[in-house]
Amino acid sequence: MKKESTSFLKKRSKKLLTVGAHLAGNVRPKSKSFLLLFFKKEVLSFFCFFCVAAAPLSPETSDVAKLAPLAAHWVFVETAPSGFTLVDADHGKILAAVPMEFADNLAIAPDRKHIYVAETMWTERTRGVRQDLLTTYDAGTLDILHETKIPPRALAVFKAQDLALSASGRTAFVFNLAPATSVTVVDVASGAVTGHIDTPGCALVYPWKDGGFSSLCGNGTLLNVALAAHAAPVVTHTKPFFAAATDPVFEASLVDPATAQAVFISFTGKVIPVVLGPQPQIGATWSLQEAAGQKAAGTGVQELAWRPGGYQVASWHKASGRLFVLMHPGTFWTQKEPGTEVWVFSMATKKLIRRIPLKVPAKGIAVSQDAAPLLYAASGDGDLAVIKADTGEELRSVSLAGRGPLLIAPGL
Amino acid sequence: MIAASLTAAAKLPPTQSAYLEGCGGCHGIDGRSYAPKVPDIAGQAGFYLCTQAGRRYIARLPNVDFAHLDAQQLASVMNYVVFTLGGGSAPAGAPPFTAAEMAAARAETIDSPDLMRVRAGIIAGILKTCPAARGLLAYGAP
Amino acid sequence: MIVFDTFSERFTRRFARASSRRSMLARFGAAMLAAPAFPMLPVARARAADADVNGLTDFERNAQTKDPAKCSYWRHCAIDGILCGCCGGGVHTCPPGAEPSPICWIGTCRNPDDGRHYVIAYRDCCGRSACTTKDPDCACDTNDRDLPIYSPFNSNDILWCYGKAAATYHCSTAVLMGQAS
Ligand code: HEC
Repeated sequence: MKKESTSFLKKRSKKLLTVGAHLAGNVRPKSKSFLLLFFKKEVLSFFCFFCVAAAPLSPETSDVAKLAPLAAHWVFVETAPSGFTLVDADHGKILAAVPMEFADNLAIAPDRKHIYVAETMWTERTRGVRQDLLTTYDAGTLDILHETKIPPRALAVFKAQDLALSASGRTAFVFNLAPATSVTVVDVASGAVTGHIDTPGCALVYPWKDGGFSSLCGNGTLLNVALAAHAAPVVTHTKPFFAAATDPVFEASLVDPATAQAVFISFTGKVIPVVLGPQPQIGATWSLQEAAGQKAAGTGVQELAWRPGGYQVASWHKASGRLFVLMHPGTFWTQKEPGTEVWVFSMATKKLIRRIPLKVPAKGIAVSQDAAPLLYAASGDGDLAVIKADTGEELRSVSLAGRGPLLIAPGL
Repeated sequence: MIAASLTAAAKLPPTQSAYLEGCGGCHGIDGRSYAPKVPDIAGQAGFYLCTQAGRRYIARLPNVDFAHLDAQQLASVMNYVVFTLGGGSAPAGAPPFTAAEMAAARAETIDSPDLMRVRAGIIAGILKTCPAARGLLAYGAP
Repeated sequence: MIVFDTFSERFTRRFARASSRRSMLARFGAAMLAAPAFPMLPVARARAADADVNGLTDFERNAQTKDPAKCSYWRHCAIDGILCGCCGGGVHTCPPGAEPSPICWIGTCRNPDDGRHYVIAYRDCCGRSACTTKDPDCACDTNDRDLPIYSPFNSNDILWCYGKAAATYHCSTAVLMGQAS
């Protein structure tokens, strides 16, 4: 049924206006006849409203919008329980929504052709049999192409790291918390569950460049799982590299599957770069505050300092090596307090480049990955600020319903 | 509904307090989890002391080792688990856990992608000498 | 553990509480890019009777023992969610129809009246869709000693719903277990 509807839409899609493309202004109509069609229907009829001898209005047909290819300045905002809302940040417009319930996760395929949602539901709303699915959407039509039944996944709030894709996009990893922890491995092309890896004491998924993933562990180590096509997975642990009990690293730390470069940030503001793999290379730690010319923050419950905080606490612009962190003034144990500023660092020089004050304190940030990057700051209450990442200038703010500290931008 | 066998005494004994804070959320106040996905400790955790492999297994479990307790406190909690909550399931004469033993166990990790298979192997060994340990099979059964 | 649409109220409330501190910070803000150290602010003597105030967290300094249906109630030092007491239940009582999860996480909070730490079980009530309220005193996000989910025994972001009912979060309770030692 799903396949049929897709091909049906494909046939019709030529006739449909590519709504997103026009809104984004970044995809030009392919031919003059398309332009003409657009003018005739939408513009001329509008002007002719004032004409004396107006031609009768032509009847309309109900159709369905189709999305242009996911553009650099589009971002999915978690607006549970209504869905992940796709926003065109250049125009502050909603383009579409992907259905979700409150602890579902969304990931964009590296080629941006598909969108995956890890979701949990019960056969009778909140009763009956629990079903967990990894659902594949066509990124253009938002038709459901495939549903893979998966074991009960973890239900925890605002953790983008519950669902991750390998660099190639061929493998999806879904984190489970039964409360025993494990990871389900799905081959997205075939829609088959190909593995189930126990990760005792460790949580979430930080994918490598290829062939595996790491998880963060309660003893301050990384668990590393190397997957091989026809052999048993090989598991290793790093040495402890952070203080899990006293200064843990945020779950929402960053990883670039294309390079396996990860950046973990601790509650006090220590930055620990790690190259992930079977034997991760732990880099030299630096301090957010010291990079800003301040004293490194400690764990004092009355020690006021600028500290990282929120849910999606950091983001980065990979091409320019800039790190963006939500900061607020506070004492220790304010790690979820919304950020009043975004601090921008050079990861190469380990220096503060800029402080961006936020009009509305934010619980989540993300950065677009193009040459003219946008910084998105979500309040967690539906406010999304769109900021020029290079200057800190706020371009617009978008009002959405629901929560939204979780932001998923293409290429992040 | 969830039984609390706690009394309004002055202070909780340190080991019981540490057990509650580090373990009791999952394993239950009395060592009964009432959840299919967490093994019961009450009346059965001591069976792991039937074999050396079993003893080593529970001492190396991440949920045990990653507790925010020093080795001495952790040994006390483990002894509370196997001897007190375990309610007679430990074989007669089984020596208590020591701080040195827990410190050594902490340095070793269980590097297996299939912990449930490791556990099944351990229990198979235990059942040879302690057939009463069959209750351990309830957890993880389909 | 989940708060649906009440974040802004919560922000307003938290910012109101901390507003004097914040406006002070705003004044420092501009000069701070190059500032060598962060100016340390005097400790708010919220509870003059409390001799031990210096080692206390922000939450502990503002905690009260009178109204259990508020985030500031002393036992709620690490609740990320809606209080069951605002939803027809109580501080250890699930609202009608909801199921207390058999497993939960257990932490400690300080009672300001006697200065003692008590063991608190943060038990979620589950199986019904979330209780919603616009009351900012009911939607809490307090995080004393709360840790990431790789330390699950100390983590309030997990939906602690592991009973017979569906794992849908309804509201949060904070059950007293005894005095910590
Ligand atoms: C987050 C929930 C959780 C916490 C907290 C926890 N455990 Fe466990 N425990 C489990 C699960 C699940 C298992 C099954 C094996 C596994 O997956 O690690 C287990 C297994 C065990 C076992 C072996 C029982 C068996 O039959 O497999 C013992 C003994 C044990 N835990 C003791 C402890 C102690 C002591 C602590 C505190 C220091 C603790 N646990 C904390 C969830 C937990």
